[in-house]
Amino acid sequence: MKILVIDDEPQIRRALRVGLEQNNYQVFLAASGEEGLDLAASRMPDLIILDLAMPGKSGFDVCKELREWTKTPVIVLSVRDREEDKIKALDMGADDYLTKPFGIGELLARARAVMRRQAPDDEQEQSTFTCANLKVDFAHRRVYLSNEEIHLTPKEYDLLRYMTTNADRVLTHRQLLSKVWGPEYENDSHTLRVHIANLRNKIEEHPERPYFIHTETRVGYRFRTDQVENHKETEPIGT
Amino acid sequence: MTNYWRKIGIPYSAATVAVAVTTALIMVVHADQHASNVSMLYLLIVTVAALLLGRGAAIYCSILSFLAFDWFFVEPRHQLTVQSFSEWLALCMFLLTAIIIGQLTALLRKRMEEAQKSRNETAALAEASWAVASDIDRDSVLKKLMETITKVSSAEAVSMCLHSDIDDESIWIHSNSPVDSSELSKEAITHAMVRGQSIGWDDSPHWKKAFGDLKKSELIYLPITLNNETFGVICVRLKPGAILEDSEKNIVNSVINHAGVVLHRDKLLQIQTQAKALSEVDRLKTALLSMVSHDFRSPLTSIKASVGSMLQANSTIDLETQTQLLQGVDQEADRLNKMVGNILDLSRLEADAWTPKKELTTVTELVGSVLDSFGENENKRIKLDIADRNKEYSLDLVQMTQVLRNLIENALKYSKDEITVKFYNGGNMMNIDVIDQGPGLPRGEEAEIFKPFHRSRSLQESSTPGMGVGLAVCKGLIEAHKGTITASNQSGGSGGAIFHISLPQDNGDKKEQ
Repeated sequence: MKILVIDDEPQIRRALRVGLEQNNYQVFLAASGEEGLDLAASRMPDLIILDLAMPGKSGFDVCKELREWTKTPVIVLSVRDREEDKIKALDMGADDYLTKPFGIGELLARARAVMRRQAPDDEQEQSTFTCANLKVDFAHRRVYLSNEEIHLTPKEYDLLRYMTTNADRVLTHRQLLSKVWGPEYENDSHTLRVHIANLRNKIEEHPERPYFIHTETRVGYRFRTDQVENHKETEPIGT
Repeated sequence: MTNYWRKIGIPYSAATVAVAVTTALIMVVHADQHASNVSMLYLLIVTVAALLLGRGAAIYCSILSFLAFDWFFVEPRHQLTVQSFSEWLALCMFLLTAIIIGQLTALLRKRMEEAQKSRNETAALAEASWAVASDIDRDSVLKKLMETITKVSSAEAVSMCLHSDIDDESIWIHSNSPVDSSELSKEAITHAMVRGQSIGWDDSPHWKKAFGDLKKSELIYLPITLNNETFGVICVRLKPGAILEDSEKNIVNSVINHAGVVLHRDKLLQIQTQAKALSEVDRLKTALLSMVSHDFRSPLTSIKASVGSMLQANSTIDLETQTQLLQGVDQEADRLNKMVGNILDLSRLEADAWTPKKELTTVTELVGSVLDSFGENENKRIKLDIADRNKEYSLDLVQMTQVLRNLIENALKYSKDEITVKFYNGGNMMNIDVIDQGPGLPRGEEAEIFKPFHRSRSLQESSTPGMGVGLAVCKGLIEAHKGTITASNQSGGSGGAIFHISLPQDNGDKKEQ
């Protein structure tokens, strides 16, 4: 597996190279957006780790240009408290984000998750989705919790279906709304919140401690199948 | 035209009518048997006219009366011949009476008008003083003062230009009848402001020389000065054709002095506020410095020590110890990161940069995003008590998540047992309690703990980590939500602390998309 790291800070490039190589990834390093785009084209990596704040060509530009010709998963790195940046990058086609500073374990988990999914949006190869005690039968539009069928409204089902087919991926409010409700609804985040709350009430054992649907504060939601890395905090918090 | 009619037309017509009516009456009742009675009647009319209609009309009335008297009642009738001495006497009497009484009445009237005016002025000044004394808001006081000027003088429009020390820019305050900005002369304002000299107020040659062409604009520029300091300029436009009388000038001056007092007071208040803010900043700086020296150095020390020992050339550290050392480095790095985050939060708090982006959010969503950041072991210790988990509240999810994280972290730190987070409604409020089973808050420090960098005296020397920023951040965020946060100890023996949050929920808060 080949990973391309695009970051202007040499210390971070070095640390990521060590961390990733130890986990048997082949690593390419780029110190600028331009170099990154060249390497992405010539080396065809399986994953791109991209810093948003770079001098010259910014991470957003790189992300946009990448998406013009490749579906290679992209994880963007941002500093804290810049939700707008995260949302912008995700809407531009990035697959996930990490907030600096982050642990290498967290990065590896995210990397595994985004690489597990190939071309998530398009085809529906599987006819069912199963995670823990939840089972979604796409063919018959049915949802089972511990083998008991639960009733969802059509919109709730569409939402769950879209989230499970994009499992482990951060989905922004805008993406969810335009994919499930339609582009004209993409700013109606209240509707989304209400449906998420209802969906949680139906599929989560403890809706206030969600197992499946996690809130990415102010960014969107993530349907998690990989619960192991769950407890690593992504944002530093106060004392 | 109306003015002319009122001033000239009415009194003179009234005098004419009065004389005509009297003449007709005399003829009807045949009182003209005795010429002296007739003259007395005319005299009466002249007196009344002098009293009621003013001097000019009185004189006119006396001449008319004389003519009527001579024409109708003095032999030979219907001829304007004055033969006898008594007739001359009558004419002179009429004229004299008219003049004397007219003069007296006019004087009396003028006195009365003056008294009325001075009453008005006194009332206006008293009102102005009251405004100065009672109203704290600078602009509204100044507005009232400008209204006073238009009320007591022949000023028609008033505006005020204040000089701001802070950004060196002018602030305009307008009365309800402001001076149009196109009429104003910048040079004149600057002159009045810088030199403290008035323009257009009296005929001093000063301004005429400098601003000879300004006169046509008819504006008066008066500096507001107190203790040789000019605070601003009042610009006044008089009613067309009017001039300021001395008494008006006095009262305008006294109103301007009031304005000077107001502006001086305002400046002192500003200085006081600045001083207060500066001393608070100073306190924070000192606290920050001492914190940096202590709280930042200890994680850095352990990081350097761990890494240093591993870097030693002849290092013989076994793998297990190495792992332990590295875990320590990892943890200390997290701790440093948290501190940096806290200081960032605090600086934003100090800069008043918290503006909540309120959205309708369910309790579930809020709780979910709070609990997400705690590990499994910590989650086991957090007990939830939610009255209505689908209830929607208007709040900023990110900020409220931060508040609850801070409070829960705090509670977990001081309490070894379970902690409880309770959500319930009350009135039009969202209420949250965070309850721990720890030692409780030190008596008397319940309010102090929300101050930045405050650490309980009993903890200052202890190794419990923290630097007294989290709760300050909570308070800042809750206040940005217009809510309240309080801390107290549980009643009864258990002794743990309770942090209580109330967030007002406007009915007017519709969803904000």
